[in-house]
Amino acid sequence: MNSRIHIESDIVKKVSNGDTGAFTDLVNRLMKPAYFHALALMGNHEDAVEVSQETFIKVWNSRKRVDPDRPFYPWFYTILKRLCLNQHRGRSRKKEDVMSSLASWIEPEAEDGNPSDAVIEQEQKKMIEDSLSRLSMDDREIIVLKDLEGYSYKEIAEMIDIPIGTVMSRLYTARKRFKTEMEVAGYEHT
Amino acid sequence: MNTHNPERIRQMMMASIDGEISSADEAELKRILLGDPKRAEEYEQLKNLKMMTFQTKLKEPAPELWDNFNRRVFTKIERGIGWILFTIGAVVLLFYGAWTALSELLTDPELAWWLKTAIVAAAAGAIILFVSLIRERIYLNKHERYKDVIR
Repeated sequence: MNSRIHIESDIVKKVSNGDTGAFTDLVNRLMKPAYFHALALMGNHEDAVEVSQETFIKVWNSRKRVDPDRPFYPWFYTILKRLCLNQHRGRSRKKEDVMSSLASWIEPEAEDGNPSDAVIEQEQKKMIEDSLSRLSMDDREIIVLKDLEGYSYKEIAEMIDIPIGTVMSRLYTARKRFKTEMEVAGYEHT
Repeated sequence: MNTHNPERIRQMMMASIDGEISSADEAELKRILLGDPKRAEEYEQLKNLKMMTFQTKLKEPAPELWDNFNRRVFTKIERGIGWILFTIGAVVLLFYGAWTALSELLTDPELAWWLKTAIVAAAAGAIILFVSLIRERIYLNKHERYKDVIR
């Protein structure tokens, strides 16, 4: 599994036994993937912070149920995603304007270029951001994991616990929907 | 017209776009796309979109977030424990206070029978509501979708 999200079993064992030092180490190592995965699912900074921190709290509270002999991250990710779904449902119940809370959560890869390129880049970024925001959480998740975060099919399959073939099929469906959203937003294929 | 399984073609298209395709599958996909212009057009469009999303990344938060992340997690865990203890203590005190007050009121010979009846009804109602709330929480906890996910 990717070194960004791989946690050795002895750390997991220590956490399971209530070792706060090991838990601190775990938080330090997984806070960035946790935050970015929550950001991919929720599409806004505040919820991503809330959900990623809450995930660590849930991990600590359920540490006795952890199996140190199995990869840690898929279990962690299941908790994270469940919390995202709960948060999302809560927001839908409150009928909050989802779009307004999804402002600016992606950015172009840093590149030196001329100002006119930068303007086009900004417009394109806005279009991509809006289109991704309109997708379902599952569609957004798979596109972000693959394209924005650069995980391989194998890593995604392990992370979200689905076969590699399903990763590809889900990507196809998600990209088709993304294409439709981009066209609605005014994107013209060249 | 090709006779390939559409699901396999879609998977090959994705693997090709993402650079995770074997050379044999790449050659097969090329052949398929040559014979299917509509599919070839879709492939090109999805490939271009992938290039666009690939050039973006998730926005980096302010660096302070990482500096305070650990501390905030531990603070929240502490507060959680604090709230649990506080709630248990408050519930016990509340029940004790209610029981003492009820005992005094119900044994007061000066108090009218209808007032005693109203007090008993209100107390019984409060207990039923409390039990119902607890039962609902336990039920939801038991039926929560991911509760028993064990890795």
